[in-house]
Amino acid sequence: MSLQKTENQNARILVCLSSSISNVKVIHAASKITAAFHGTLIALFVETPAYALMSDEDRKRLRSNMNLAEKLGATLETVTGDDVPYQIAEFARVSDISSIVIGQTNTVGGLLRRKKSLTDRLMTYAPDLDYFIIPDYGTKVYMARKQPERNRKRLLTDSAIFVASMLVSTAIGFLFSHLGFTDANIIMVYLLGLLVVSISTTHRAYSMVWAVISVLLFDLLFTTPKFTFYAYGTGYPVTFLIMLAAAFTISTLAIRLKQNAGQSAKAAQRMSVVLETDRQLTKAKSMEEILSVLASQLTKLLNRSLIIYPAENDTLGDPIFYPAAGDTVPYRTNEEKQAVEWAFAHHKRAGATTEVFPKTDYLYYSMRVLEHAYGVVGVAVHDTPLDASEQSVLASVVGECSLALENARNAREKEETMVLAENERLRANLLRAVSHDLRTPLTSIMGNADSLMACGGTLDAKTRGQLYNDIYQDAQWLTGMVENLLSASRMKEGKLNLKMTTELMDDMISEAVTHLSRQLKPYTLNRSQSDELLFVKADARLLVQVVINLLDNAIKYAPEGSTIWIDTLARDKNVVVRIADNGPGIPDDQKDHIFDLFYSSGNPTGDSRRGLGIGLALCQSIIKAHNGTITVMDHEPQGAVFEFVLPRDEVNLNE
Amino acid sequence: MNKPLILIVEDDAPIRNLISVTLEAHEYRHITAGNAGAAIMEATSHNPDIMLLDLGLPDMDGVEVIRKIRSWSNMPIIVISARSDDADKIEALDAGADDYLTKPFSVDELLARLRVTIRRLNQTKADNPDSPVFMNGSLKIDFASGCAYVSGEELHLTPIEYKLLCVLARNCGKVLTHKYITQQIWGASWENNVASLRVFMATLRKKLEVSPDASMLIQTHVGIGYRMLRIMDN
Repeated sequence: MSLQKTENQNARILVCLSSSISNVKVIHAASKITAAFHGTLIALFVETPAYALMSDEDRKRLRSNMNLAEKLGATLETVTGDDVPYQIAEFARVSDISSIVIGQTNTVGGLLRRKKSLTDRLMTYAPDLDYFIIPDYGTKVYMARKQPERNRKRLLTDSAIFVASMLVSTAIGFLFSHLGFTDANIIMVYLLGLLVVSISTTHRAYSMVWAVISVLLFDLLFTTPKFTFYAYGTGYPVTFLIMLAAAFTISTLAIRLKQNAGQSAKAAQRMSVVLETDRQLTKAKSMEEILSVLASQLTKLLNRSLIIYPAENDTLGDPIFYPAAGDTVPYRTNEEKQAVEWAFAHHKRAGATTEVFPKTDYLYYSMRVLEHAYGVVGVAVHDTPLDASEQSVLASVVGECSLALENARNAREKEETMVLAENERLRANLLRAVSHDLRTPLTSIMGNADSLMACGGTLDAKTRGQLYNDIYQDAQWLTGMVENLLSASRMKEGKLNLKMTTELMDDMISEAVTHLSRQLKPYTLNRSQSDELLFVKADARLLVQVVINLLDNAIKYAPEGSTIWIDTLARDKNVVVRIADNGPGIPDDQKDHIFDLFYSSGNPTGDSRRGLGIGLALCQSIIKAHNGTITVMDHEPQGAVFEFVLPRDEVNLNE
Repeated sequence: MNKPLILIVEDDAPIRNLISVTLEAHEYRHITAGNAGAAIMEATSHNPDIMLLDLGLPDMDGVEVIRKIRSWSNMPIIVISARSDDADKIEALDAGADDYLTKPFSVDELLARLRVTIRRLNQTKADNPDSPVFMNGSLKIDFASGCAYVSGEELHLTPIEYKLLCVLARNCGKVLTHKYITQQIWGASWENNVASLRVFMATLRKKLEVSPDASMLIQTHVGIGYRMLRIMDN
């Protein structure tokens, strides 16, 4: 063991987890070593085929060892493989591990296992690492043990297979013997039956028993003298021995083959889930999409109920529940809530099978990237704890989703910044336009008032009247502009600020007409209304403003004496309002721009008071905010038609 | 009553001046107050007939002034609000104000509101509050029999429409908020039933259309409520 202080500045220390009691000692030692080196502790569990056969007691111990490691600040990792030292060495290489803390244990038992100790072999695989070997006397490494009463049903099917293949093999043996085939063929039949039993049953005991029984049966039934355990042939004892040895070997090989196949299938499935998650996450953009990917992948992987608490601005939102088949919506006790909050606040696992709120039904993982928490995922445990590799895949899927959430958040922030910049640009334009365009009427008001004050007496009545009228007109224009700016600022504050109520369209039109009654006097107004009551869901103030702006537009562009039509009608499930005039109309090339902000037809640089070009732009944004559309068309034979369409609202009467 | 006394409560001197000059030009008697304290003092000492009240006063919220005045007087109060938000007008109306004006307002608008209010004052004085019959232009409501007539023709109203007409008639000349009307018709639990109110109001109006003057009886105040106008008896 060599220690090089300089290399250990950022030490990554690996501790190997097992189900042995002494592992606790190893973990504590590893934690102390890590603290001494100011390093990071990684706890690794190698899931071997034997894991599937582990007793409940061992599993419980393994879990408590894992919890201990986590509590001491370790990151949990699981790898799957048959060759434990090789897996540890590979993991150490890939994860840039500098030191390994391991208990000195006996070799894992087994017929065809190597004799060298695990530590020795590990050192051969990864000779460059520092090793801390914690002596481990008198404790036992877990070995595959019988599961008492683990699965009665399995026992029955296994026994049935056993008996059936025994009967079939013996029957074939009798057939061969009757046909006069040699003993070798009968032995082969028994070995074939052994293969079947090894592969189709779950425990190696069946194969072992089969090996012994088949030899005995062969001796009893097929060697002369028949139906005795005595055999005349001199070579038979050797035959029996070889047959027994072959049977044991075959059964061991077959069982390992089966276990490996099962394990790699499981690992492949998990890997495919992780890859699939990655693939889907690249497509998911919004938080909702990412969470739904998370939910569907975890359901696929674990087949357990899930509960997801999304977090917004560091506060947990309402949970979304994804029940597995046959599971019920969980009753959220106080303890569950506390576990969720703890996991959220401490960025760690909490709930069932951990040491924090272990009485809960769910195991909670915090979705986080660095210090940003994006929520909590709960997995139903229901008394069947997740195994080590499930936990590891779960952690990696949750990690992937947290990263995706982080990316989504970054993208959103970027977008918001861009919107902000765009708003800033609009605001600057608006300020420029306002300061220019408001000055004009103000100058006129001040000038006219000034003249009247200074020399009102010397002016004749007609001139005075003209000045008074100009002051009034300019003030009125300013009033309209202020109304529009106020509406625009309300619109800018977002949809939430709209006071949506059910309004009668005709009421709002009447209000707008009343508001403009003075300006409308020189025009002929033609209103037609639908016989039905046309309701819309709207912010009344803003919609009245839309009608005012459209009428104002008609008044501005159509010469006095023209006719203005206002029609309301129902079309499909919509309410249509049409405001038309028989003025000069709008040239086609201007129709595309007429709703643009600051667009004003005519001389754009002159001081003519045609408006700021915000009236129609405001109409469009108000109508859009009400889920409607606004269009401009030609009026036959001349003039312009503005038409806006809003979804019709139905009213349920309370009589 | 020929010359009503009007109390102008407005902290902004040019506007106070504008209103005074307008009232003088139309031969109304008036007194002025620049803040809420002075307003309440003037109101108690001179007992004016009508109050024009600016909601944005420096020393007290205008709505608070209305509540104080309403604790002892029924004088019509017309509020003047610079805020374009409807909420404060609604609050003032619910606190007992009769009508409202939004700044900027024209002189014509101000005079029109005053005429409406004075007409109502005169009529209220002439009306016998216990009278079983309500008359307004061509509209006649016989409370005792629960029937309404326009130009002598009986209107076929649903119970809700009749109730609605009665609520408006009993508060003739006052702007009633949606909240007030729905409470009167459906009770407090149906405060948000404005959509239904609009439907019944629309059908009621349609039935009143048989006479041209009756169709103008009910005014809509978008976002605020409704008012029944008092039609001058010739």
